[in-house]
Amino acid sequence: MEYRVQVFRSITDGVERWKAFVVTIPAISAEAESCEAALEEIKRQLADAIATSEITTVSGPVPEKVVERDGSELDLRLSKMGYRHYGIFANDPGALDLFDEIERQRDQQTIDE
Amino acid sequence: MRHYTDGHQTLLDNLAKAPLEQVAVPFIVFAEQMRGRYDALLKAEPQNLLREQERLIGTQAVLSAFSILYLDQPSVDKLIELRQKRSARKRYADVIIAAMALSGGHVIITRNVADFGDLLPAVRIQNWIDQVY
Repeated sequence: MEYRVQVFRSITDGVERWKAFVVTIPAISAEAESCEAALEEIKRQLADAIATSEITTVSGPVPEKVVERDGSELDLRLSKMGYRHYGIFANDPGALDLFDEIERQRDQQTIDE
Repeated sequence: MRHYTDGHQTLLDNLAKAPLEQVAVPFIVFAEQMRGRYDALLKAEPQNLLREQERLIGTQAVLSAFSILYLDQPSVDKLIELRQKRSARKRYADVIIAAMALSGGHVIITRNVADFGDLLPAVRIQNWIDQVY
């Protein structure tokens, strides 16, 4: 299996250092004087982790829907004003069917009936 | 609320000029949405239960950001008056909302301007979805 590893290079006081971590398992990280050495250490830790761990799941509360905000000036202004959760169903067209149903129900209840 | 929850750009641009304290949701809009979400959740097949529950929770969260505008006696009196005047078929929910707007001096924000055109003066109806104010 292949794991994506992010590698950072830095130079401090003329000394080169490499830091690496597994993107999906950030707890596995390494630091070395070369990229190759850092990756070797990552491989060693991964092998150790795989040999001594298992993947399981836990149950938790349903999270409040988080709106993906774009950080625009408009977004910041609306947030400051207290507007929340706008666009919450932007990626869930089925959720908007409710409004069509509400319109149908309103059509069925008129004042002269 | 449809356009608020789908993040309509023009509506959001208009809202950015309106203090939240001056924007309210009529109780009937609140009730219709919550009834719809609860109905959908109560009728959902097992594979759809979590999705409908998430929509219900999301709708609660959206509505909780706004003040809810409830009926009072003047708005009920205005509703009775409007009902007696109308000869054409009018939707009861629209007439209730119009009565609340008239008695309370509110402006209705809607895309369905035609639904309210014969119930309210034009100055009390604004379409924030298609026009920038």
